[in-house]
Amino acid sequence: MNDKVTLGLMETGVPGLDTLLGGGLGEFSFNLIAGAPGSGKTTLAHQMMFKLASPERRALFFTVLGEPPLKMLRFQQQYSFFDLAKVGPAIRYVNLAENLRQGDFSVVLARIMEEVEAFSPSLVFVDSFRSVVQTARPGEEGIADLQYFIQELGTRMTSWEATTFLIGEYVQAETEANPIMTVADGVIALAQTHERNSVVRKIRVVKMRGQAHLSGSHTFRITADGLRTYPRVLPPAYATYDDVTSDTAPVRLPTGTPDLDAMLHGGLPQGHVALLVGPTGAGKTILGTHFLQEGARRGETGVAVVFEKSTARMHNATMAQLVRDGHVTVVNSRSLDLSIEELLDELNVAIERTGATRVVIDSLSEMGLYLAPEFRVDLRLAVFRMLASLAHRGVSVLVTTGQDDQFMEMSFSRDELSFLVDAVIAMRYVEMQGRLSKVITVVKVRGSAHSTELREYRITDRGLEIEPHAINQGGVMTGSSARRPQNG
Amino acid sequence: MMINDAANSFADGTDSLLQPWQQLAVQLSPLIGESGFCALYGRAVRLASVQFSWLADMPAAKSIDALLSGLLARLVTAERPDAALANEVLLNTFTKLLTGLIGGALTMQILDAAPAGGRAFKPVQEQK
Repeated sequence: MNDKVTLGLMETGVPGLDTLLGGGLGEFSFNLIAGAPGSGKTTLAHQMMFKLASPERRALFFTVLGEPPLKMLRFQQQYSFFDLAKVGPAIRYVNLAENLRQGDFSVVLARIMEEVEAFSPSLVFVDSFRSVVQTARPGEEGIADLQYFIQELGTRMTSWEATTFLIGEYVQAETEANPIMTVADGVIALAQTHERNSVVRKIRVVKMRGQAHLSGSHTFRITADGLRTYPRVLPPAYATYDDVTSDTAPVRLPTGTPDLDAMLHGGLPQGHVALLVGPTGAGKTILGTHFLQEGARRGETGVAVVFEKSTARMHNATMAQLVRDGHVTVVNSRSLDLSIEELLDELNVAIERTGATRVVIDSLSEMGLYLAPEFRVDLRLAVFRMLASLAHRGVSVLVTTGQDDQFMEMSFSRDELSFLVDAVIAMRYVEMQGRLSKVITVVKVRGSAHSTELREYRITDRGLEIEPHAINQGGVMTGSSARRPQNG
Repeated sequence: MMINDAANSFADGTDSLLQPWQQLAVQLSPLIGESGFCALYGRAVRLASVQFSWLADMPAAKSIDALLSGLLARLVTAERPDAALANEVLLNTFTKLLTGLIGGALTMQILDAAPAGGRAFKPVQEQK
């Protein structure tokens, strides 16, 4: 007989947080939510409380010194999760300030127990617990009082089958040195990092007893709906290779540019990520737009992740029409402190909502400008995470990146991005017979043969029109252009 | 002087004017504490005393018990209709202040809520 206890896990209602916690909040656990003022502790506590509380699972929220209760209620009401109907029958606020002023933890504990016995809560919050701690008597006696108080509180709340949250203004180093850490089953630390005028909010599950929680820091944002966390995870590995489809005869997707499909020997293999690399004005956005337009023509939906300078210039006319017709959804962040997980979350939501099969990201060069400095430093890692997630979904992707022509070397992307993708299509300007011409070539397509020719192309009203044959010029990629002798 | 002692000394029923305050204290003091209640009351008195000057200059109270004793002492000095009107204005001002801070819906939600465990009102000092 297997009589091991099973931990009951509760959904927090905070998007992404259950993933960080290893499945949810442990029932009857005794937790600390720590972080500097303004880091989002009280909001996190309220968001979880309003999600979890019901007349059958009541919540007691003890306010202590710190944010006045009326102001807290005033501001917390601004969030969409604040359900007025729950205040009273499911949620009760109790102020402990007067009890705490007496400076005796036994009085505070007695008051807490009095309220717990009267309301029978399943969830108990104490905000701010640091205020409680600061009323301890100085010296060893105070420390002993505090340790006893915390121990007693933890024991009694667990005995009452209450899941408890102490909320305190502790920074990371303090948290880990704090005696509460010993008693707490779970510690969630919130922080804000500030670098070059950008602020990135981070959450870390320092400990969560009995649960395989995700380690490390993860970004989160506070919106009108409360906290939304963005777990820094890769897609799961295949449990078995039995279900992995073979690429020996991939389905080909027409790209919307027939001449390019010919160079790709039938189109882009389904599920591939193709990098379009080229200088400004080469036609990358046009190729991307035609890719989505072709999908729409075939009844597919698409998502365009665009990073343009202003809304007015965001769409070209074709793209605007695709969006208006509901064929394409645009993901367009206006934040300057973006994390790749946040962008990916928006992208995934859009793909799931619309069932999109085609994605265009235009462009990686500009995306870097929207990332917070700490993520901008390693664009390759950011792109890797994003493309890994998209590849797992099986969507077909065109990613553009700008690159100035360097005529002395053959380079197909900066930051070695070309290694992360399945196909690379390079475009560049070359001097031929006294004029600036555009050429395009397919550098690689994983698992597939393709044209290796350099072909001249023009941009017309119909899009890119590519010559059917290779240019009659050598050395154009390395800056030593010369006309090849004619055969015969 | 305790509230009930003072109230019992007035057979004309002035003490009934305190009942809404006592109910408010039951509903709000657990939420905002005595000091929060007294602060809100002090502001309400200040605003209401524009209309009823005899409410002005009440000593600042640090407990709800003292606050209500002080109010009762003022009410019994006024004519009965005037006392009832002043009390009503003071109550309305108090609840308007509360509404301004936490909104009408939550104010109603809190004021309509029955006290937890059906406990009757008693001065907060006696709860300690």
